[in-house]
Amino acid sequence: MIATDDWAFFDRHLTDAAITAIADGALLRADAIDHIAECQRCATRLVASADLSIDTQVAFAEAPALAHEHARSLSPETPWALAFLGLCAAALVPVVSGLLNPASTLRIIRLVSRIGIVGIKQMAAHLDAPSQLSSLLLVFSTLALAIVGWRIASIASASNPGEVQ
Amino acid sequence: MTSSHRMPVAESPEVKGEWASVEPVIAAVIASILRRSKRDADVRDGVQETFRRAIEGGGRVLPNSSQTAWLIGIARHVAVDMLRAQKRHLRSIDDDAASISFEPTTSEPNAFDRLDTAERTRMIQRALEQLPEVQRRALIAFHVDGLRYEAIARECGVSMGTVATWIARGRKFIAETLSTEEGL
Ligand SMILES: [Zn+2]
Repeated sequence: MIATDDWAFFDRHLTDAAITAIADGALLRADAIDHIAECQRCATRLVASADLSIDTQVAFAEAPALAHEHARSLSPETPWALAFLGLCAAALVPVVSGLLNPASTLRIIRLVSRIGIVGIKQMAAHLDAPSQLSSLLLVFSTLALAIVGWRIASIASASNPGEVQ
Repeated sequence: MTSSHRMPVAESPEVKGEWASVEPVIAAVIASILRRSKRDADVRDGVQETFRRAIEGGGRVLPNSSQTAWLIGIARHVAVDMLRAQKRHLRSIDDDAASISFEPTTSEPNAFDRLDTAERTRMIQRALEQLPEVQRRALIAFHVDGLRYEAIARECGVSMGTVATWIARGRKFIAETLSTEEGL
């Protein structure tokens, strides 16, 4: 993995990345360590980098919320995002067909509501990430509002005989 | 831990085990501060003293991923103590910029030390939120999950140099943010 290591040196000194990797015990290459022994500038940077690593470690240890953030950041979002997109697409099919046939509006609203409720229940059961759940709720709510708005518009146009249906 | 006190430092399980690979780094730091060769007897003594203090200090409560940084910090203290002892002995060596730069920060706290814990945590959280996603995830994987660089690189499908760059930039940003906010 570190065979070429052209990232370790720049302009005859260790790069910030290399200094950081040495401080974290991730880079133990002989020429990099020899350079530390011979170069006070890089040795000073290494000591400062080690301090920063420990300070950051302590700060994380004192912030349990950051660990929660970690769980969210590494959760398998992609499959659920795809499932959600599929659900949205499925919900849109009857909406589009309803636009072509307003008589079935009530049935469409029922269907979309059922899909929405089932979808939210299923995803809430599998997701522990507040941001994902709130995104789902937002999209479903928007969808529901759009349907209600469209329904109101179609009722209004039906009550106005001068307007083309 | 107590068993370590009964045996020579070099024979302790930590020194023979997970710390063995870090020993050249510790020697390099001490050699640089003392301005000696890595093979100098004083440097070797410094390395042993570093491990002795580490064993007594109980720093093994830190995750494995932070052990090297913690040992480097101890090595710096050991080397500065050795420098001071030499100066007291010779009474004629002027302080120079290099030795001053290695002085432990206890008398001159950095941005982290000047903040109370709760405020520091809030600032770090704010700084983390502003970080690019890859840097944030790399930092959290290292500090929270205790993953080594190799594991992070494997998980993200990038080189170890890239992981090192993410972590270096992330830490630098956090430190700069704290320094800036603290100065306001
Ligand atoms: Zn250098």
